[in-house]
Amino acid sequence: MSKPLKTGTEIASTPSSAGMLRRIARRPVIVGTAAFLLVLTALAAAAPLVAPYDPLEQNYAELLLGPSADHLLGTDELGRDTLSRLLYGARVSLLVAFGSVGIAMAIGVPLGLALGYFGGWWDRLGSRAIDVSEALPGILLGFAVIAILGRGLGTLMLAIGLMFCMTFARTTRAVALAEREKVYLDAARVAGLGTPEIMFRQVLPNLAGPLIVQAAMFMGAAAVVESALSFLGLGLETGVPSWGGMLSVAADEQGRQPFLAFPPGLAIIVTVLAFNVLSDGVNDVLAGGRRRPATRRRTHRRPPVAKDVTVKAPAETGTVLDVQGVTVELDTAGDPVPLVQDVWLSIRRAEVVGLVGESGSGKSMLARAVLNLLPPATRLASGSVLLDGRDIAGLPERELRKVRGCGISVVFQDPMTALSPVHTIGRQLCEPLRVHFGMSRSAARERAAELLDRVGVENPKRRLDDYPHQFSGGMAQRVAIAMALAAKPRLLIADEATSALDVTTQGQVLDLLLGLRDELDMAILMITHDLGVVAESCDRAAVMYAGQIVEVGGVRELFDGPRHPYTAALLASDPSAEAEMHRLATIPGGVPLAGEWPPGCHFANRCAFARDTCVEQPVPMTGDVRCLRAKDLTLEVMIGERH
Amino acid sequence: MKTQAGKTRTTKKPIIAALAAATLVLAGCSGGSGGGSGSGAASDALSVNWGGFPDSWAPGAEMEAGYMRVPYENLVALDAQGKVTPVLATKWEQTGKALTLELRKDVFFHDGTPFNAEAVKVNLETVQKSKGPFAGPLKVIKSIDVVDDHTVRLNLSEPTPSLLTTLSTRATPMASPKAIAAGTVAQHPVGTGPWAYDPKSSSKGTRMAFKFYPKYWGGSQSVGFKTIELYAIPDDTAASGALARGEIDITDTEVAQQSRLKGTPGVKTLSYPAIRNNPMFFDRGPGGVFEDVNVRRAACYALDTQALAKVEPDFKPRTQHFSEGESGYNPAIPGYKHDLARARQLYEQAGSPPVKATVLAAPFTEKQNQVYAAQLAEIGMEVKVQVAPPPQFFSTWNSGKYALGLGSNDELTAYDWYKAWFAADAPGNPSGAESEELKRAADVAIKAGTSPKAAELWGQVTRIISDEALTCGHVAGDELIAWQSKRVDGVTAPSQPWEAHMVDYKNLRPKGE
Amino acid sequence: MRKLIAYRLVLAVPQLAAVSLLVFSLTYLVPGSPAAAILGASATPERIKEVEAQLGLDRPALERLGDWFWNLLGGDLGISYALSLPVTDLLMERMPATLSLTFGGMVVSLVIGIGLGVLAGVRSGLPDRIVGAATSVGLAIPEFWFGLVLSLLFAIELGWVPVVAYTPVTEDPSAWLRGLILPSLALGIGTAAMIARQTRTAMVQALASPYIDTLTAAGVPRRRIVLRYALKNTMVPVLATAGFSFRILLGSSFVVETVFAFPGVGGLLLTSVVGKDFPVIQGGVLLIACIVITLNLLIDVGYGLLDPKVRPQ
Repeated sequence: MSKPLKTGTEIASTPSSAGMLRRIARRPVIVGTAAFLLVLTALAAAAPLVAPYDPLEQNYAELLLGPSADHLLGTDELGRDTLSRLLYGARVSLLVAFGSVGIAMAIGVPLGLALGYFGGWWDRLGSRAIDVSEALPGILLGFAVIAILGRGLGTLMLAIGLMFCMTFARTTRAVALAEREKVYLDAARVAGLGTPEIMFRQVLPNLAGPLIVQAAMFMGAAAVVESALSFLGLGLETGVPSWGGMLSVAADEQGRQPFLAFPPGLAIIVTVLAFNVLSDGVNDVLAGGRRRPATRRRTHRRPPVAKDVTVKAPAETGTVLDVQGVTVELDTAGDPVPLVQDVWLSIRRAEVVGLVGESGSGKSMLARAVLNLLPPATRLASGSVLLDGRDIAGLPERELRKVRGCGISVVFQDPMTALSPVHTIGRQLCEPLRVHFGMSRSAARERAAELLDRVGVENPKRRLDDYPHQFSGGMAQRVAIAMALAAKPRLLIADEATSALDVTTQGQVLDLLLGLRDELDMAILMITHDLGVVAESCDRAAVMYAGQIVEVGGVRELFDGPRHPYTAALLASDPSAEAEMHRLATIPGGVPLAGEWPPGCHFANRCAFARDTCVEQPVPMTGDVRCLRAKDLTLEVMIGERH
Repeated sequence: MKTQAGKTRTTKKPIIAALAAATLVLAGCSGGSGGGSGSGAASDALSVNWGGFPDSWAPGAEMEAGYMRVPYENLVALDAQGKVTPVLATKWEQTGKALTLELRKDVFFHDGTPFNAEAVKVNLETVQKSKGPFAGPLKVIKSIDVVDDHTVRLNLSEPTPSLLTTLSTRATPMASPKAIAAGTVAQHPVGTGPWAYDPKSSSKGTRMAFKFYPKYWGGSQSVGFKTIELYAIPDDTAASGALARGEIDITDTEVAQQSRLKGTPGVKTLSYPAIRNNPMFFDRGPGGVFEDVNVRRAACYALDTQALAKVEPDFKPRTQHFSEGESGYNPAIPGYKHDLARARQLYEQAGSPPVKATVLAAPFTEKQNQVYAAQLAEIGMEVKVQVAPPPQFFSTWNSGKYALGLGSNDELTAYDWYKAWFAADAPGNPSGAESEELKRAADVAIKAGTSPKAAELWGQVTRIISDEALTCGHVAGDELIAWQSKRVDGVTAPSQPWEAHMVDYKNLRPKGE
Repeated sequence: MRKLIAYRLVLAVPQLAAVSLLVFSLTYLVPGSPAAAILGASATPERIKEVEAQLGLDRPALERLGDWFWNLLGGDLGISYALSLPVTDLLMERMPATLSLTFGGMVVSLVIGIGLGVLAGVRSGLPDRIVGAATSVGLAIPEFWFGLVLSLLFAIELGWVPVVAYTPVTEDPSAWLRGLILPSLALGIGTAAMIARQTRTAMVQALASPYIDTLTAAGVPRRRIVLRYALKNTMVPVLATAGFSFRILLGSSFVVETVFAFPGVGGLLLTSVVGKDFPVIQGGVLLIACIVITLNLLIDVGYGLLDPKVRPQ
């Protein structure tokens, strides 16, 4: 019967500091429900003063009345006043709610603490015991307790308390286990605190948050169970007003006075709802308000695109992709924040273009803009994306579908998350084939096996029935590539496609990509933070910094004679570092965050060559470089030869 | 359904359980396959709803007449004038020492077992051994002799002129000894009646189907319906709906439903007195809560049956258990007219000992108990009402576990009533307390046998019972039956008096096609 | 797969043993003696002795324990004190109604829960908010009250839905199904809300996963992505909630069945609790525990089917 229970994992386990109360106070829902419950408790406590009638007073002249001025909620089958009984009934409900949760905590928390703290065999045995106890529906446990001890308020509390105590034990155990690992416990032990002291002083405060959340929720659940048991006649004696007992009468008299079912029923619902909302609210606060994931993909509608840039014809024939003046903005409460600003980039047939930059430079956002896969709350504010001369930005879903896969394809960084873990790779690989070529199941399978074979997966036919987790990282990335290639795209975007792989595998995958480029006559946009990759595989490269492309050029020219100070700095840092670069060793500072970009040159604050003019106004792309001083400077790569 | 003690229900909440369209279909189906005669399948089957099923169909169990009289028959019956008439026994001879019965020949139980003297012996002994009040009046039977296959002699320990009446009631159905021995009779009744239980066409908890037994001694012309289907629709409103839609033909109902049924074409209603109940002070032995006669009298004066009648319009207050013309009726019994001042005074006279008692109620006596509890609270007696499901109620309300009880008193004769509830060894007298005066009066009445003085002497006994306030607060409840007159003919109040949920099934005839 | 099932079966054995041991010791927890509890305060010592002998309580605990387990192996749960019938028969007679109702409630909560959860997960904004509010209320509604209101509205007042009493499925499947409609709706509402919440969360999470982008970028239609890929990924956590729900439904069915007069285990247990018919209570608890443990086993197998990582290779 303990129905609306969340599993322990859903509950935030990070209690926070003194600010919690303040954060709670800021939430009208929590304040409102807490106030409601307080008022309810006060009304229940003051029932003898507030209730208009004695709840037991029978009045045979006024049986089964509907609501009236004398009896605001009518009367029952013995002429007793429903409102008065409702108020007295609240006493039972609340008393049982508080009492049973109190008992549940008194049993469950110490048990959980002990299991979590001692660990080992204690824990294993205890956890098994908890499992066993969970083989029973709560109400059955209630039945057993009532059968043993007989009816009564105490029994009711104990019965419901026993239903819930194991969940408290489970939660407590989880928190205690986590805390046990923490250093400060060791420190406390060293400091000479006894074991019980450690458990209660150190672990308990960390438990407070989750326990409050769970307690509030269970109080609601307890009110429901109490009403169910009273409804069945297993609660208090007949006649003692309780909400469940009133519903039992309502059921008997339904044919004569249907209204009877509503006051107690709604009272239960509202009370339980209040407990649940309170629990959810406190949990939200504890989780820092992050319960609802902010990253929700907007489903259908594309954000509107402001076409304030005149679309130009592709500069030359043979251009596959032409990005023209693309600006991506993040919608916020205030002004929109640009994430990518006025990017122009074109890629020719079978050309491999690198897009390099530090994390946060906006290169992946640009790729997503090209793919029409912008995350929620971001939108293409202006610009066009021309694929083979056709603007695909803002195309309706149906049209986009035709472009995706066979026009543009993508390979993401982590192949393990880029493939659905619960579907065979054969099934996923067949999708683009069936969608774009309308292949039959068997034909698609055939072709999928060929594709796998082509990307270097051994035993392709058999492996079609494997799941992603059965592949190594490199192999899985090959599968992802095969999937991206399935519909023979004109352009492949490799978004950090090799970053997660070890060096040897990385080389193999790069070779594979280049081989495929030749074979399929396919252009590749290679997004990477790794200059080594660019040097190894690209024809041209574009360097991005803080949302802007700062320099474009042939790889050789770029590496040999960078014209933007940032390019030079990038080349000077250790480019083949495994991890993403977070700061450039050679220059102070870091990439400014989106929204904090200066109006002038974005790099100016870190640039050794900056002048006053650099910061005054936006710097346009001049030729292939975005630097006012490009012509004055001769930059050298200070750290020697590149491999 | 009203709050009638003695009513058997398997479910607590009278909400729905209605059988709407589906059971209609079922009724049609099984009816068609059942009768097999050419007179139209639908009319062969009679659908009856009494709101629940007995928990046990074993002899001695408190199953209501409306159930019991479908598969079972008694040795004798009472006709409308109260005269004993033959059923399974064709002749009888009674002395102060014995009752000898001559049994009908060529009678078979539904399992093929022949009905004979041995079967009678087994049945009566089974009831004697049962725990309920039915065992009380049969205690007088010392032994049973099987004289020959079709003659049985009941040897009596004292003169019992009322024994034949007892043998006509639901206390003594005749069930197959084979089924009794096997223990299966509780769930699968096997009797000699016109209709045999057919588990295959039944649906546990919802419908019990009974089909005409080809070897029935009365022949196929003795009944109008070849199949009787019993339903369990506890909720009156749902039952009214089912009757209106033609899903059932006969149902019990309550006054509140009459307005709903009035507009339905063909639906007729009938009411007859069916139930008598009264609170019993079980804990009246030494040291008991109700040991003091003045405490009991105080409680009796505190009870207000007129007020109860407002809550339960079907109930009519009475001064005593028996009606005029019945053995045991005594016009001199004043009863306890509601009088709080008198009640308080008597309670004080008794020294106002604290009265704390629990009474067990069935769902259908809950209201009545609560009204009585509130009335007793007026003079400071604390009575808690506990509700239990019907099977629990029937097995424990009079077991002595509770100091106070409220249930139906079926007994038709003063002898039975005394033997069931008030004699020192009565099953309904768990405390075993009986005053010298009562015992003496009863002994005298029993000795009087069939003499003309007996009636007056039994009137003395009931007078003492009332004066000693062993029970009071008598009410009689009406049974209200509704039926669809377009399909059923011959519905009358049952000739056997004081039986709940009952029609004389054999008189019913299909009507119209 | 077979290995997984075998492993789970092996794990279930000690669990079952522990539950039955617990159930066995139930009578020892009764203050005083169970016989005294059955008979009430006024019972004579002789009578108590008599009932103790009848219940076998007068024998040594170890001997009783041995018998208990031995009888269990044969499916014998003892004899009901009140009804003098084998507990196993009593329970089995009522099991179909209870399982039907629970099954109905499960279907309702899965269909409504997954449906609403997917809707809320896929369509942020108004549908999400409406479903969110609806699930909050759904979680707070006592099932038996909802059953009351449903019957009041649809059966008694409107007469739309046939509120048929229980019909065994073996007798008339269509009547069985119709009879289940309202009770299942009433029973399933709470767990439907629970499953809807879990489905929504899982769906939102699934839709934010990179593989959705991969499939989108491959040109797979949105509907197909949601229904084929996101949904199956969503089902993994939902399955756990569904298993959890089953236990709740089973328990709640004991209450809901009284509203709709279903001849289920709940009524039997209720009578037994009031009458302190310990053999029936013990049998009932054990049987229900067995069902839950079996279902957990099935859920684990279901995990194996849904989530390839769980399958032993």
